[in-house]
Amino acid sequence: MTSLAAFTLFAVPLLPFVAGCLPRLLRAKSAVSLTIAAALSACVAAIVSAVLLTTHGHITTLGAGPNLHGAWAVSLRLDEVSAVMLVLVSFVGASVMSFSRNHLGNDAEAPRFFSWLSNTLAAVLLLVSAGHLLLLWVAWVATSLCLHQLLLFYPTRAGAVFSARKKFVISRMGDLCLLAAIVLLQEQYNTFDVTQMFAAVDAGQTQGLSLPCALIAACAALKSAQFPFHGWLPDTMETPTPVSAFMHAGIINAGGFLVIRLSPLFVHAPHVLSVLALVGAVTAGFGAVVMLAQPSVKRALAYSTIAQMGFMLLQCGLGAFALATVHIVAHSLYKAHAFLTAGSTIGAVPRKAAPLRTGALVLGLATAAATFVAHTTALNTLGAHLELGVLGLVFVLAMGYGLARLWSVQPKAVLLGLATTQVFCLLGLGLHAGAQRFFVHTPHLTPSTTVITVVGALFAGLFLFQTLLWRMGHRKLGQRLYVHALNGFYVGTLGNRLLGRLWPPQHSNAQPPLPVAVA
Amino acid sequence: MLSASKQDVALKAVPTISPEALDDALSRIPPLWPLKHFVAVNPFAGLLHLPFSQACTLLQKATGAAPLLQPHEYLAAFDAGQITLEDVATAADATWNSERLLQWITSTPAAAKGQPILTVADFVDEFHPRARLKNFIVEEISKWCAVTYDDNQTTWNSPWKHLGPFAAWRQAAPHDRNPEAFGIKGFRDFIKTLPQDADACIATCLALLAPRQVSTQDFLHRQLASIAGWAGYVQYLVREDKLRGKSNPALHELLAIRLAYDAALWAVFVQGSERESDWRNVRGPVVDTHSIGALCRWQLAYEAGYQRNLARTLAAQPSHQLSERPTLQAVFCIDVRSEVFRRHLEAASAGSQTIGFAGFFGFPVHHNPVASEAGARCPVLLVPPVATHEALPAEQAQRHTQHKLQAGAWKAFSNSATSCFSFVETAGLGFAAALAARRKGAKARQGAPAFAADVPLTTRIGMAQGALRNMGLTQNFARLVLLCGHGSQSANNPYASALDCGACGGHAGDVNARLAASTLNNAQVRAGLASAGIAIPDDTVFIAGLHNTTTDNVILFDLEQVPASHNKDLLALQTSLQQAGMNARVERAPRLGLSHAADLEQAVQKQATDTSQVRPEWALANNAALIAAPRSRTSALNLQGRVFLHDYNASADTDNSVLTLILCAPVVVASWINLQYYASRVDPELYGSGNKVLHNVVGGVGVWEGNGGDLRVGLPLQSIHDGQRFVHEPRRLTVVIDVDHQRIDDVLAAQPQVRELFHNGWIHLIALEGAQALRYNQGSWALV
Repeated sequence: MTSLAAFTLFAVPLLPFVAGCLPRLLRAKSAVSLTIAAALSACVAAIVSAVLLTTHGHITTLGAGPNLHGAWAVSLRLDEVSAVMLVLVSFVGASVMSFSRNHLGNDAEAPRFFSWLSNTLAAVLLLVSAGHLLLLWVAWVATSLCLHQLLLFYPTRAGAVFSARKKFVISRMGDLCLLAAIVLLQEQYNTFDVTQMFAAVDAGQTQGLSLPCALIAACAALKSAQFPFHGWLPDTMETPTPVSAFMHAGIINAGGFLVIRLSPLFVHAPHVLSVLALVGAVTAGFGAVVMLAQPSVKRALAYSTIAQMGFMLLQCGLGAFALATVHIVAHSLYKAHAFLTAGSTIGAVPRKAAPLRTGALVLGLATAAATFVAHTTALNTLGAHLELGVLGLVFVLAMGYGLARLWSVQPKAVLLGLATTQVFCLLGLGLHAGAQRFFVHTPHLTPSTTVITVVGALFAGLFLFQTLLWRMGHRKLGQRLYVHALNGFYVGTLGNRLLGRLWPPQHSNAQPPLPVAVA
Repeated sequence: MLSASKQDVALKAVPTISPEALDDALSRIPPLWPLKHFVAVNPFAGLLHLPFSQACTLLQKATGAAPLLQPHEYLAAFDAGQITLEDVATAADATWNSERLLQWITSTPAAAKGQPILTVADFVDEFHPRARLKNFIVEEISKWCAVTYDDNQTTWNSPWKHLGPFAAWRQAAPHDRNPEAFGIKGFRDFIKTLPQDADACIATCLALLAPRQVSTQDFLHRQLASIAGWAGYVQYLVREDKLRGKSNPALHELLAIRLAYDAALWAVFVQGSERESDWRNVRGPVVDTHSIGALCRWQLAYEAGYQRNLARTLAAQPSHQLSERPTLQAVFCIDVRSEVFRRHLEAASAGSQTIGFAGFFGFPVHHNPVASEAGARCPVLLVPPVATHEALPAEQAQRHTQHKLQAGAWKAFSNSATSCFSFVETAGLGFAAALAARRKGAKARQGAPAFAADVPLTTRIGMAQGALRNMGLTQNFARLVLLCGHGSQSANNPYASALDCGACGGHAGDVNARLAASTLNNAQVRAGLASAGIAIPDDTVFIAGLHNTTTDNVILFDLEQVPASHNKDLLALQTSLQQAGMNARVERAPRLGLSHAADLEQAVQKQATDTSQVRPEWALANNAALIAAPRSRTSALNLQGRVFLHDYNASADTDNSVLTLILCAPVVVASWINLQYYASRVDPELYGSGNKVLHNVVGGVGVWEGNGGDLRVGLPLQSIHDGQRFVHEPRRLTVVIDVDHQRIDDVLAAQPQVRELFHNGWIHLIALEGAQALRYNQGSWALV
């Protein structure tokens, strides 16, 4: 049975890898059906693996390395985190590839597109199931390089080339950080295998983790578009919509995945986690504010992703690794769907809301808080971990804001508001409690009060900003903030300028020397 | 290189510009309709007073390219036999005889690219290779236009949205550090020195910038053409206001903004440097009139074969009116998609008669649906004189309104800076099902339209009378008359309205059809019509329908109002419609790539609801002609869904009023559609809206392709290209009218704006006189 599990686990990344390579090797004209079938099969295999996890427990499979038992023997690891990620990524990948059939399948260049998309999917699947850090690194780099080919799917578009380069530079910085961290960890534990590493940590070898963890955190921040290294993300709209969908749902969260995967190490580097929490919180606030001012649907989505990735790393930094995993899954499904329906904007429900009524706001907040406290108390008796008050605060503010929105336009919809709040609160807390139980092996940590205070203040400020948003335009400060937010606080432009110096773009529309008349 | 004789031009005084000349420059920009009701636009709408070849020259100055195919494309058509030697001979003239045309095309691998007039941004880019200012300026202006004109897309709106574009920009730009972050030092300080008034700003900038080798009008045209998308949208707003008697200076303001950016670049990069005199004397545009002349002839040759074939085929067909009472009458829109369906309906329903007329059925209205945006449902040439609303029971209407409010609150909750995190985390899992399903259902059925209470009976009678007279339906009514509008169905498609009915202003035609049918069934209206000489028999019932052009299904409306006496007729109609739909689908299947579909109806239904589908249907691709004639001229022919069919009975039109109407309205609308397709095909980069796969909807108005840049104009690539090759053959419209050519001359003499369409070679005109076809050529007529 274990061999069956190993076989299935290997099949998950292998299927899209082979399907991606075959058309290129055979110069086949139609890669479309083959790669879609492979992605669907990978999804099935991932689900089977997840089932086997529940029956067999953690599985570490040794691969065919040159030395099967030495440090270089590559392995895949199936645990709760990788099982969830495998199912998620393969599902999103299969959905995106099926979507691409009508979107791009008729194009003359379709084989190239489907090949690279399939290989990208394979690389991500390998990344999330790798149990060997060097294998993980190889998959990490391969993901980025395959994605690079997709970002350059329209190679004659100057914007596509420029943004791919921007991403390339950031990614290589991340690769170096990760490689350095892996080398440091290998020196310390004398293994590349995470299972053995975790065992050593459990046995008390927890010194000197700060530097490698800091490097890994930096790598995660670079991968997951954290402020101020986010500038490449909003510029990647020169790639087909399905690529954006897969990137925002299946790739960009790899930073969070990396921290969660190595969370047994991170809990012994609490300062690194504190910094990660702050970086995440700042990015979340930054992305959320900039997102509101963007007039184009895809740029708004890109800043939304930046914000959500910030929130994901904030949760990691607060030690809520289980919750961060839930966030990754939920955000992926949400964002993939959002990109793949980005054409439905015309005639959709307007985003701009009516002014908020103060009464509705107060009542909404009170209701949300009361509901939350009531449910928390009830759930606590069931043994859930709920000491993360600051995330609770974010949740209460969110529900309060939603209720205020509803009751501002429909003061009579009391029952609807109460019922929605109940359902929403139960869902949110249920997911939290469920995650805590499912991810029993992810460690847990109580964050420092300073971090909690800063993060709490930041989200309270964000709440205040949002409720005052409709009056912003009347004040000079609000007007300035608007212009800066519209421009993403100029980080993107400055980054472009820097890159333009370091890596000057080819003058694509090369024209003959300027014939200037002599007066 | 400039010749010495031009040097004296360089000594000319600083140019100023008169208001008329300014307006002339602005009028060259065609309007661009927003996506909520996108209609086809003639991209050359402001240039029709010029002969086609001269307009090509002008456009090469402003954009660098002439709207013609590449030489190798004409050569390929020649090699493939699409252009014959006879066609080349037809197109030849004194300058370009057949021999010379053939020799030129075989020896010219690529059209000599012209070079447009330079903007300061172009100029600086040429000596400052890293600058990329040209794109940057477009992105900046596009950004400001997007936030100024945002239509319910963005959460956080510009504080200066209530101001005109220039005033808003003057307020916002002093806070904007983006140009300086990009490397344009001192940008904010410079623009603070500019006048507060848009026209004064134009004058100031012109005094600084206008190069001496270029006419000021052309220079301004070039400036606006560099932001053609937003200029087009502003032109649309200006045009809407003008139709309603209001003046709108917004296009002046946009021009002022564009010039201000150039002036800032001039101040930062050019002024005081050795480049300053270079700019003053910068070369004029490079225009290749020789190639343009040859290509215009080749374009004519490309059109000649189809035209000759069509004219001769039609001339050989009989021209007569139906004498016996038809079993069924069905009025369809002139849209080319109706041609296919009408053919199959006539085949499925023996003794029936179909009629072609503009799909708003002569009822131009401003319609106000419950809980949705109101808008004009008529050709964009008209201002709707009356208002209608969606008649729903109060309870139902209230429910709709409440749902809308709740949806707004939910949207605000899911998108706010404070709640988006918890929303995504908690509700995100729910999107898994939608992600896998990739389906989006049809729009909900709407309530019947009703006239506003203040629309008097005489107006309704007047509309009914005009409609019937213009569609030629004043006698010999069938028991059942179907008024069949059309609308498309597609999911997740920003360009959905482009597939709808242009005659209904970029909406589906159900509102107009239902309104027309209910009005024509009204006893008071019928009494009024009878006294005006149109006697509708008591046993005639009008019924409204909507042809779904994606699925070829027809929905019938308000069936509960059809009297029981007509149940049998209704049943027969429904059966014929089903049969016709089935056969129409079979005919369309190969082009949709559905030849092998096991269940064709299911397959097209899937096209209509699939969110990943970028080619739900082919809409008006390959349109090539408009025929105004009795149906007998065309009923025996398969015109392959390429022609607009308008019914016209010249003998009943004694005062040429219907002929005038046809030439002034349907012909103009068809020419807009045809030239939109033409331009999007010959230069997809300049006149098309680009790749749907990269579309990024902006401001609820239009699309960016990719990261940003200008708003895109025209049709998406997927509307004219199947992934492997172009499916639209760019032929300018051939208008064929079954009438004596002298009567056409009379109408054209009275309608100079229509005349210039034909006279300047924008579209072609053929008169059918019995078994003869005559072709109009710059005022004279010759046998085809």
